[in-house]
Amino acid sequence: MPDLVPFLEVPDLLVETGGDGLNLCFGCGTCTGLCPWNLVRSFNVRLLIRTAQLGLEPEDTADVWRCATCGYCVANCPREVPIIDVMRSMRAMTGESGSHPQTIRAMLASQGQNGNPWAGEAEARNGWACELEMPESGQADDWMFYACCTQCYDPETRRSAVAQVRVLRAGGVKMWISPLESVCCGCSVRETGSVELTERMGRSNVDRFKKSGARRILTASPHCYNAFIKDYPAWGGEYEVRHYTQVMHELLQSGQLVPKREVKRTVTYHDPCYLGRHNGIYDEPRACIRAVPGVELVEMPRNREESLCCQGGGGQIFMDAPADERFAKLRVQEALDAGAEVLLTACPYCNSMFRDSIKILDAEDRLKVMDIAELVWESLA
Amino acid sequence: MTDSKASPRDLRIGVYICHCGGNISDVVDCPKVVEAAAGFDDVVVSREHSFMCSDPAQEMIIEDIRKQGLNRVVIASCSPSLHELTFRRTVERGGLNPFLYEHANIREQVSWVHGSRPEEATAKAIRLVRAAVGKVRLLTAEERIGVEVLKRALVVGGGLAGLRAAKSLADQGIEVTLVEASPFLGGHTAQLEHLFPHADQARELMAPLLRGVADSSRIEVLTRAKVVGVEGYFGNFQVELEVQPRHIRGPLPADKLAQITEACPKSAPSEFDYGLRERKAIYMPYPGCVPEVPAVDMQSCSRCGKCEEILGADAVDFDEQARRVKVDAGCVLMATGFKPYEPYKGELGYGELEGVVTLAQFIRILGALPKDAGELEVGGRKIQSVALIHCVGSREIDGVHDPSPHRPLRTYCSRVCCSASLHAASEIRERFPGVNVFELYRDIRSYGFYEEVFERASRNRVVFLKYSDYEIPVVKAGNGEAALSVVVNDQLTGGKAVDVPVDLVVLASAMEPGDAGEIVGLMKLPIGSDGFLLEVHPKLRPVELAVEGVMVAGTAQAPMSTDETSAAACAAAAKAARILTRDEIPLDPFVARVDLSRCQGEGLCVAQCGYDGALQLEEIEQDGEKVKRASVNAVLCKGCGACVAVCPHRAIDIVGCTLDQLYRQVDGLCA
Ligand SMILES: Cc1cc2nc3c(=O)[nH]c(=O)nc-3n(C[C@H](O)[C@H](O)[C@H](O)COP(=O)(O)OP(=O)(O)OC[C@H]3O[C@@H](n4cnc5c(N)ncnc54)[C@H](O)[C@@H]3O)c2cc1C
Ligand code: SF4
Ligand code: SF4
Repeated sequence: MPDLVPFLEVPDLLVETGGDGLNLCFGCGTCTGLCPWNLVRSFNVRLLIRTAQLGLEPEDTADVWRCATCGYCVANCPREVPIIDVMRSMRAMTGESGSHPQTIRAMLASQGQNGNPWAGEAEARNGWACELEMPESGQADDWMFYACCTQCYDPETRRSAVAQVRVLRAGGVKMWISPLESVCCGCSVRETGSVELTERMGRSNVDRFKKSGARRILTASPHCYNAFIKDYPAWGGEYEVRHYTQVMHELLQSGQLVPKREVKRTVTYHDPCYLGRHNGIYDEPRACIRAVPGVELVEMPRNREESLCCQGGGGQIFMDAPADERFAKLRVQEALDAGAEVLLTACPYCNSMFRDSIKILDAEDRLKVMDIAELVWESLA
Repeated sequence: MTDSKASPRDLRIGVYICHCGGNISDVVDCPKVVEAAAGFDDVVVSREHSFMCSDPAQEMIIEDIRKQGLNRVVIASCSPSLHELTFRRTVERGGLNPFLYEHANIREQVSWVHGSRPEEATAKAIRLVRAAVGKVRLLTAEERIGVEVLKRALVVGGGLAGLRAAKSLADQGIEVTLVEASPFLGGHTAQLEHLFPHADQARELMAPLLRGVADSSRIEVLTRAKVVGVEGYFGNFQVELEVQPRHIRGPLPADKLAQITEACPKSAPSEFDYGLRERKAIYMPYPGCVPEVPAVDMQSCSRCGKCEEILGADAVDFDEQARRVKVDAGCVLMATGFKPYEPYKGELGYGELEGVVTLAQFIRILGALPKDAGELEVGGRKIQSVALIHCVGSREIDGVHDPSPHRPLRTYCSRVCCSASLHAASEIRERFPGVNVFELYRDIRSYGFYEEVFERASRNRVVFLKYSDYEIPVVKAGNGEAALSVVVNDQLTGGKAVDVPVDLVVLASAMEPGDAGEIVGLMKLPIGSDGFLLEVHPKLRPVELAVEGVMVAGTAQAPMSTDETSAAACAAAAKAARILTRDEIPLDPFVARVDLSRCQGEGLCVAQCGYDGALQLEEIEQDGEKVKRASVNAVLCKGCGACVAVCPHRAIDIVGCTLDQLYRQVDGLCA
């Protein structure tokens, strides 16, 4: 085999496009050790970073597309290497030569055409809310409710959006639905390295939101929450952004929401990566669950900062990993082992990933996936 | 006990058995030893304690001495190297002569080595105590030997360590003679540029210290000087120096300095620049050096007289001869420093490929570049990428490193090269951001606070490649684009061969022991297996050598950074000051003593003695007659006992270990 020759223009470019800190990696391998991929198949994160440092070709280009951006490695890297940022820059670089995986290319095409990743018609975006009769604008102090594209287009997940709106309304929250012309928050576009499209979509949302007078945004998904907080200000989109569990928690605390009906169930809660590790929200969702009378909350061994990723982030949800390479399957098994009848989450991606894996595991009669709002609604309705 | 008639009368012996908190008593049946000891002749007190070295136990012994009128004490405990001194002091505080004390070791010699056989261990402990009691009966009250102290320190080596130590001593009012082998002070630190970790300019940093030494009325500086003779002993050394001539008398006005170096037609490779450049036969390494007087290198000088024309005949003397200087000093500080290892020809391309230099050389190259240089240029070539290779000549492994061309293998880590390389790497990246820097290391050992040097290099986007202990990188001529190519099996890339094209290779070569010179042989200074001077104990007596009155400072002892060098030099100065501020030093009296009533002056003992000046035949008057008799110099005698063994008349003995005392000890062991 010919010797490898470092090509430092590559790391230079990666650093320029957001991977600054790449050089800090000293090769400890903590990232590889922690990466959930290695629970299902080998994925040498450290070596990929190393490859990037030297500007070498990755041994397997598919590796560039594996990262689910769960952030477990980043949270534990002793050198604080922004591993996800490096991955994203590598994707941008690989993507530039058009070598996206087929599924990602399709997702991006749909984003460009329809403004959502699911090849859904743009006009159907707000169809999920028809029974709720939500206004399309409101007072400046009201909230704009922004549903996740997955809720908009996946018939099973949309129920969670409906429940979220119902619960919040029951607590007296005034809100309107994000305009029909809104597009996806852009998280999956960003995570798969399409910098320009991310910005284009972001700016178009900023425009729409401005027209509808939004100052406060309530998100259903932790991914949208993350995007609005971290990406949008650069495009002039400065909002007060909340994840619905935060607002729900306030309503329960202040007594504006009082769940009365007993729900006799043993439940467990899965911390979504973008709510927990990425944004530090661990307690509010749990407090919401505990507020429901009759519910017994059991924890899975990997919880809070150590939560096991569902494999929905970083574009993975579109990549349809083979059944034996699904983290969600492991997570569902963990929930079952913990003795839970309900696996609760607060993210549409997790919701959808777990549903699939429960089917694969043939566990539909033993475990149910629910959004926290659905549980609370059961106790209110 | 046999032979009670030989013992002094009225003996009152106290015996104390220590448990050492179970270390002894878990194996040895201490009460049984106490009981046995109580039965030995003249033992009036026999006790045990869980920690005999503790304050209460010592108080107990003192009280026994006072109340029970003890006049001999035996303690059975740990090794005498640990607490013999402690207990002598205890006995002394009790009002007894401290040399009426005997120590038995029942920990290292009993409980720790016979753990599985407690009964026999107990029996052995009893024997050892009986032996000690036997010996203590014959011990005599002794006085410590007083040595007069000469109040001057001799500091050998005028690098950072020697300068720092000399200045510290002078600041404490002590006279110092500072001996430097080269014509200028400053050593290797003066050849550095921006020091890690904080990038202080080395010569600027040293300037006040150099001035302080040069201006001090208490410090006599001798350059081009070497120790050629040492006599005497601790507190009282007579040292002979050979001082080579400088051929120039200063001070000289600055303009003349410039003129002569311009005018001198002869040159030689510059020591200061590690041979990278030439200097004239009359030279000064850098402006502001100390002494600020040039020196003439007579080997390259042709005596053309150009310098004489400019400076005048008074200032130049080609015929000046070497002179001998005698110095009397109470102690000696060795600050002879290190040598940067020069790789052998062909080692990683050194000496064979253009563009392979040592780190020491590279620092000189960086230093010579104009401050605002836009490009890194070496030997007229523009450098776009640099590889720094760590551990060259350090941490060598038998079987991996070829020992023949450079025996012995240097197995030690040179400690400084990691930080110095990382620091140089950062300097390149910061001054010339377009230059790529690769750092080829085995382990990064920028220890302690030098972590920040590593941090800075990685933030500067230095690229690290790790080679294994068993696969040294290969440096070869490049193919096309770059002048050189370094191939390394990179441990961070799964051990795959990575070929790094570079324009310059910098070898972070080892710090070798300096040449401390004849003084080592003259004073029998201990050298460790790595070739550096060896301290008594790395933790407990880190700056003292086993030869009493000799201290070591700085890299003469081991590779160190400048801050560690300064710390060591201050420590050595403090140790020296402790000696030099006293009028007399008390030494233990365990040396040979002649019984004049038996000595016949045959001198067999003198022939046997291995320590110069310790034992001599001296003419004395005895019964009105002039006779030759053996005479001991108590300061030079080491108490080894070689003389005792050869005397046919039993006329010589070692105090505290006489033959009779030894016989009693043996009796006690065998009874
Ligand atoms: C490449 C390199 C880079 C370094 N960079 C740094 C750095 O950035 N920061 C840092 O803190 N440290 C650095 N160091 C370490 C630093 O050089 C040493 O700590 C320091 O020079 C040690 O001083 P010293 O007085 O012990 O020895 P030396 O500097 O070697 O001085 C010894 C002196 O004794 C004289 N001498 C030798 N033998 C005799 C004799 N027999 N009789 C009389 N005189 C004698 C010599 O001529 C010399 O003047 C570096 C070392 C190297 C090799
Ligand atoms: S955890 Fe961080 S430092 Fe360790 S290998 Fe991964 S990226 Fe590098
Ligand atoms: S300090 Fe670093 S480069 Fe020097 S010998 Fe030790 S490990 Fe090698």
